[in-house]
This record gives sequence, C-alpha cells and structure tokens, in this order.
Amino acid sequence: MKGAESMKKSFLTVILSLSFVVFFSLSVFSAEFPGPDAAKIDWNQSNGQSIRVMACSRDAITYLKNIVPEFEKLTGIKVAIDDYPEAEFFRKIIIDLSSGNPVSDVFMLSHAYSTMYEAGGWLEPLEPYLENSSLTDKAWYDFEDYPAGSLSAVVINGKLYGIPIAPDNQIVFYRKDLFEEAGLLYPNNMDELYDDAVKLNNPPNHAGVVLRLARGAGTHWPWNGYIQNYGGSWLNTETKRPELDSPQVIAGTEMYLKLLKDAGPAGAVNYSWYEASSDFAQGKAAIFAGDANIFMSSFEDPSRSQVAGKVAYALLPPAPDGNNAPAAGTAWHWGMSSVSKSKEAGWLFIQWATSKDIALRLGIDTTEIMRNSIWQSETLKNKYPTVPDWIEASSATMNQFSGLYRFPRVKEFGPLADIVEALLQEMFLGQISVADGMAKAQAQTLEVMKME
Amino acid sequence: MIKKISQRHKIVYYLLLPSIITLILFTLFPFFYNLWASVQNYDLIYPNQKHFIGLSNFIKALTNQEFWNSLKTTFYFSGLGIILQLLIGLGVGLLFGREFKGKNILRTLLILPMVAMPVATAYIWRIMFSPSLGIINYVFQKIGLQGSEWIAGYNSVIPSLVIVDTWQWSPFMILIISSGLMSLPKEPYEAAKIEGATGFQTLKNITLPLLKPIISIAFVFRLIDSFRTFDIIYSLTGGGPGHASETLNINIYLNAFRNLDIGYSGSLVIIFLFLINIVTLFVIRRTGFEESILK
Repeated sequence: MKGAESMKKSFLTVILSLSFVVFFSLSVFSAEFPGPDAAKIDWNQSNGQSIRVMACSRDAITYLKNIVPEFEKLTGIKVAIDDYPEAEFFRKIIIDLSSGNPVSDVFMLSHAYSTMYEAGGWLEPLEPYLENSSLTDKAWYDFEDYPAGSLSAVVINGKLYGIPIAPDNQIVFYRKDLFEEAGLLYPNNMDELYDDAVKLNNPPNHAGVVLRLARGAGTHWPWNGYIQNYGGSWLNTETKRPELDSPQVIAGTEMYLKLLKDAGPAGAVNYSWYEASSDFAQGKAAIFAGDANIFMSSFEDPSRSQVAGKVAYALLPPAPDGNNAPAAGTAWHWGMSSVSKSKEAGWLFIQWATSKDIALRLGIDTTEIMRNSIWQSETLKNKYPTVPDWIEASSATMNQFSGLYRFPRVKEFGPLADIVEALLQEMFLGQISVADGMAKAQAQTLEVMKME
Repeated sequence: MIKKISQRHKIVYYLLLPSIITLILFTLFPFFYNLWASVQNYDLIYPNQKHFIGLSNFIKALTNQEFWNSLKTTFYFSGLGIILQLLIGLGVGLLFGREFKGKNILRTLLILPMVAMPVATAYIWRIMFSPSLGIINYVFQKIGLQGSEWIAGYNSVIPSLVIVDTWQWSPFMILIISSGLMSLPKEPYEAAKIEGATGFQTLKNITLPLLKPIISIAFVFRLIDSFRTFDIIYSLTGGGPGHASETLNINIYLNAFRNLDIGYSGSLVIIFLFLINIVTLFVIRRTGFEESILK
C-alpha cells in the first residue's frame, strides 16, 4: 500500500518536473522574433554545397556548433566549424588567409585585425550580399538593429567586411556585500575607485582589485579602456600616429598599475583573464576593475562561483579630467574569404547565425549579445532577472561608448600590443618609471609603424 | 649477371625513396625555404612588399638589443639548467648503479615527468607558482619561510623556469648515466679493489673518466634541447615579466607569429642554428666525445 502511494508520488513528481521542463523550454524558445522560416528567401538555393568555418573558441561558437544541424537541414549546406583557443586561432587564420588559397570560407574576424586582413585583400565586402534580395530578406534580418559602434571596426574605406557575432564589452564587477560591509558606495570617479580598492584590500582573504597584466593575454584591451577613460588614445584617430607618451595615456596607465600595486593580488604580473576571473569567482577579490561583460554568467553560476548573488555590475567610473568614454565596446565578427568558392552559401550561414531568432537563443544561453533588440528583449530580462545592472552596463558600453572607442585598428596591431604589454609588466615591477616606459613604448611603436 | 646487379640496385633505390622524400619534404625544403625567407623582406603585415633585401635581416638582428638580451637569457636558462641536471643526474645515476630493492619501479616512475605533456604540466606549475593561490608558497609559509614571487618576479623568473626544466629533464640525465654505468667494464674496478683504492678515488679516477663520453652525449642532447625549450616557457610566462624570460626561441616565435615578420624571424632561425652548431661542436671537441665514441 505504502509502496503504491510512493509510486504515485514519484509519478506525480515526474509529471510535474516534465511539465516544468516543457514550460521553461517553451518560455525560453518562445518566438519573440520570427525564425528563419519567416524569411522571404530561398534557403535551399545553395543546396549540396559545403563550407568551412574557422572560429575562436568561446561560448557563442560552442552554442552554434550544437545547433548548426538546424541550418544544414534548412539549407542542405554542409558546415564544418573548426574552433581553436584564441592564440592558436590567430596564428592559424593568418597562415590560412595569407596562403592565397585558404581552406576557410567563413571565419571569425577580430576587431583588432580587420584592417590588416583588409589590407591583404583577404576579405570579401558583404554589402552586395546584404542588399541582394534573393539572398537576404532585409526586413526580417533587420541589419539596422546592430549598434553603430559595433560596426566601426569592420567598415573600412566605406565597405562593410563583417557582421558582429560576439561582444567584448568592458564593465566593472564588484562585490556589493563587501562594499556594504565597509560602508562604501560605488565610486564616482577613478580616484575614489582607487581609494575603495585600497580600503577593501584585505590579504590574504581577498585582494582589493584584480585586472589582467600577463603578457600575450590581451592585457592591452582593458588597459586601452583605462587610457581612453583618461582622454588618451593609443593612436591618433585621424593621423594614426601613436600618442603613448601623452599626459592622458600616462595618467591612465599610472592608475591601472597603481591599482594593482597597492590593492592587487600577489603575483599580479602573471594574471590573465583566467586568473583574474577565477580569483573573483572564488571570492578572492573585491573588484574586477574592467573586463569582458560575459563573465557574468560564470560569476552568477553557483556551481562555478562562490560569489553568486553578491556581484554588482557597473561602468568604469569616469576619470577626473577624462572624456568619460570609459568602456571598450568591441566585437568579434563573421568575415568571408575573398577567394571562397561558396560565397553565397557562406553568406546564408552568416545571415542565419546572426539573425534575431538565433541571436536571441544564443544570447540568453551564452550572454554573448550584439543586437540592440536582444538587449531590450523580455526573454533576456526573464532569464536574468537578478542582474538588471549587468544588462544596463553592458548595453550602455555597446550603445553609448562603442562609437567613441579608440582602438589602434592598423595592420601592425600585433607587435603594438606586445610592446605595450611587455612594458606594462616592466613598469609594474619598477624596472622603468611609467613616464619613461611610455616614452619607450612610443619610440618602439613609431619604429614598428615606420614613422619618424 | 650484370643485369641482375643493376636490377637489384634499382630496388634498393626504390626502397630508399620514402625516407628520401620524407627528408626532402620535412627537412630540406623547410630549411631552404627558411634560408630564402631570411634574405627577403617577408612581412605578413605588408604582404605585397615581398622582395630581396640581402643580409639586412641579419644586420637588424645583430644590431638589435632585444636579440642580444634574448641570447643572454637563453644562455642563462640553459647554463643553469644543464649544470643542475648534470649534478642531479650524476648523483642519482651513481645511486642507480648499485642494486637495491624497488630499483626498477623507481626507474619507471622517473620517466613520468619526461612523458607528461609539457603544456599541461606547465599549467600545473603555473598554478603551483602562484604567490596567492599556489601550494609552493603555502608550504613555505607553513614552515616559516618567506615565499618567493617565482615566475612573477623579474629576477626569480629564470630560476623558477629552471626548476621546472630540471624536474622534467633530470630523469633523462639519470637514465643515460645509470645505463652508462652498467656498460662499464668490471676489470678496472677489480684492479682498484686489489690496489686498495677508496670509494672516492675509484669514482674520480675510474668511473668519471670512463663515463666522460656518456656524460658528454647526455650533455650535448640536453644542450640542444634546452636551447630550443619553448612549451614550458611560453605556457608559464609567455616571455614575461617584461622580456625577462624571452629566450631566443621565444623571441623567434614572437617575431614570426605575433609580429608576423617571417623574413626577420627566418634570419634569427639561421643564426640560432649556427649558434647551436658552434656550441655543440665546442662541447664535442672539449669532452673528447669524438675520439672515444666516433673512432
């Protein structure tokens, strides 16, 4: 009798949980935006072709790899996606493209390298595909949905070379519980941020602040957000001449290093985003003072983080005399090889992968969001109800500041980043003063860019 | 009769073909391609400006402070590492020359660091070295010692990398030296025993001289390998902090794959090759490796 009752109970549990699963999956995939079927184009026009996609490993790509069979079913196009960790990806794609006969038809295009690839003649202009009504349903695709700033890196000499897929938006992560305990409010400017970080620095329990400083780990990226916040610019936006020894750049650099020196963790010099975000997720840091907004999903996941529910999200506070353009709103894009033999198929893939419906599904699963409509979507707000400040800060970097973002989009970018990253470490360790270090960076950059 | 021989010869040639093709494809072609690249202005940042520039790349290297610094770092890293590994190899190798219980198991265990994936082990070392989270400083603090900055310090980075290199490659020295010991003739030892030589005298006058060719083989192998060390350094520090652990090999990599200057890094490779040959030749000459082994 008891057995029958408990069986009934467990049956009820199964039914209940099943209905929950169905309900939630329905609510998650509820068509806030019409799917590919609603597009007025013939998805089957390249049936039987195959394309190779080379990508940099990240959550958005993992997600796309899982759902790409849907595209194959829709179009009859075979898609092979190869993805590699960032450093390896950059090496592989440049070798592939420069070979003149690349195996990749479609590939991920970093905002930092688009100028260089364009100069090599490796990129296919995408506007003709976007404007071709047999290839693109413009009303359904709604290209205007992308924030203008997110296209700044891929519009070169008036031509469009990429479609945004994944963002790199710089925001600040901080522990609201620690701020509250210390009776502190989120700082109004950079000097207050520094004071708070020093006050909250409590080794060996937790550091006041974490930031990247490792060489070859993209440290230039958060650093660039800092110098820009102080009104500086890596290269002059008009003349492309380096301005690394300007007082603004020096002030931004000084703040970046001062934070780490006086409130950073031991061994900060080797911190990549991995160490910094792990420390923060383990409760070993009070402020993660500027890195990619996508870390939210791991910080709020209790199975990966000890600080879930205790994190607040904000923009980098403005610098005293800065131009208040703090955040580094940058993006990864899909680009197409100029010598691909399956360009139409490649475009269909790009269009499908970046369409609103797919972008929403991908966005709520991975938090990799580019389109304005997704930032404003109800589905997103329902999925992440506890972090409205994250949505606000992330979309603000994308909209307000990405147009102001100054990044050295020149072909020499790789060497320029290394010059800065190596010198940041030397300045941090006191091998050279910040003023001398930036003068040296300026001289080395001029040399690489073959300028006087 | 004559026909038979020439036909036989033909087969010999065919049988050689696979190895010759492999050699051409993977050794000769890359070498000559590199030689060609080293005299070109071959820069992927300026893909359309490829042209012959003679020895300019070599001159650029030899007048470049970064090059000389990386050379110094290479010698520091390799020198310190090999001396340590030689001492450990000799000590433990001699120990292995004796019979004791569990010797075979111990010898198998010794190989582990060598066969472990370098990048994976490098990442584990990276975590262990971490001043805040790492176990090394934790243990140091527990026993009342001041921890170090390890790979985060400007002066401590190379010694820290040497620790990893030594952990990984000392077993190689130990194995070569202990197997060398086993192959030594018994007679001199018997004679020494009869003459009443002490253990130290036997070591100094018999074992070491007899082992010299073996040690020099191990030394040369390790030297070439150590010069080329890439995985450990790149995974642990990427050449940093600053340029403090940028050995020539890392410098070449950065020039080729970050700065995309194929021509310049090609010239560095040639210089590197030349250097390894000179140093190896010098070591072989000085240790009498040639006379004792090659004759």
